[in-house]
Amino acid sequence: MSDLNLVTQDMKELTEKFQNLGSSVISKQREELETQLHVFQAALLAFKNEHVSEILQNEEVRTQFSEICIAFGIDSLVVASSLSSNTDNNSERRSQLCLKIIEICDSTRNVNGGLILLKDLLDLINTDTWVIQDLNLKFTTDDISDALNHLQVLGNELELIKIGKHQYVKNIPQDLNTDQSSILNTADVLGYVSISILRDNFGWKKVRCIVAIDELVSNGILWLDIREGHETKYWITSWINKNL
Amino acid sequence: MEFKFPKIHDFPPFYTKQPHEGTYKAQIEQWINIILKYCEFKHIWKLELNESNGNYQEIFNNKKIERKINDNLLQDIINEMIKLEYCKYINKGDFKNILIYWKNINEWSLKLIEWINKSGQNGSILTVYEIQNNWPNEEFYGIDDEIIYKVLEKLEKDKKVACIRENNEIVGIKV
Repeated sequence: MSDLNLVTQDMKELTEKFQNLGSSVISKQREELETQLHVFQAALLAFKNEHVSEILQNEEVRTQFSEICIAFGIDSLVVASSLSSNTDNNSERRSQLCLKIIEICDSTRNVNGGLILLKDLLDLINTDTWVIQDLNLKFTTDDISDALNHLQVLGNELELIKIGKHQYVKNIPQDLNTDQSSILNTADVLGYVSISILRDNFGWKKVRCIVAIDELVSNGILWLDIREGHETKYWITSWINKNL
Repeated sequence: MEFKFPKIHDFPPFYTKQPHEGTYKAQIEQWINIILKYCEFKHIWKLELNESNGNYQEIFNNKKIERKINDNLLQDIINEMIKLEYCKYINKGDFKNILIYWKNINEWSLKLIEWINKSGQNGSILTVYEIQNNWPNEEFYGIDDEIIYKVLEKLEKDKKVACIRENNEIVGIKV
């Protein structure tokens, strides 16, 4: 009986040893691959700096170079942006930025109803690790408004608008009417509106308040907040990232 | 260490069922994400959906903003989680106690196979008891019977492992 116990004990130790060995081999391989990847990425950057004029002038080289960078896990926006930062040839960078903006608007629309705070949008764009490492690559408000101007040819669907004190990117086709704008202006300051707030401050009739709010709620721009014993509130989603 | 809730957890209307369909979908997704991450972080397999329960309090009753989740909303979230195979009721007809998988069965099977390959267990025999109790540093440590059975059945179906049964119950696997 005790022999058997010893054997199982041995087996257990052995398995454990194998396991540790296996884990360390895997993590070592992983580390090596990661280092290699970083070396390649750095080499690509060095190559870019050395041959920047050729890359920029020769369309074919540029395309191939971009493809290689993207294959090595560098975001295409970052590639385009780092290739054009020193020249006036900004169109590729801008196009990539447009794509990124559309992508982010699209993926956040269900939460914010198509109205995103400019600062939130910029934060999402600038989270790319390469952008964080190289401050020259960081995008600014001007870049966004330039890109949005460029997108005007596609219609007014993406538009920079001011609500309250903040700039927002509106990415839905509907325009906001005056009442809705007043509501959003208030919500930008307080975080929310309620029917009594609108009645007291704008002197609107109850029906007018309800119609305007309903429209914003049914577009997903305002979030409904029902709480027992309190008046219903309607919140603007830019408040999510506010530090309360 | 405290679990760090995402910012939307402090957004007051997050606790009310949203009328806009797209918003509602996003809301449910966010809730599911929070519940799974929370339970994984705290290593909770069984969650009691009862207001007096401490975990319930922490997830669904936000004292900072004085909001408590709407019951219908919670029900919808649980239904969606069951549909996506992230949880199930522990006892039929008892809607207060759920078994949380953290990952769905598919994700668990991938995880387990990855671990088997990584730790050099290929070709060996493992008992269910060992899988549950022998590796305190692995995510599946203490995994509930029901979940591990489902995972192993799936792996058997995919021909990744062979199950060893005793009285129709899985007791071990050969990998």
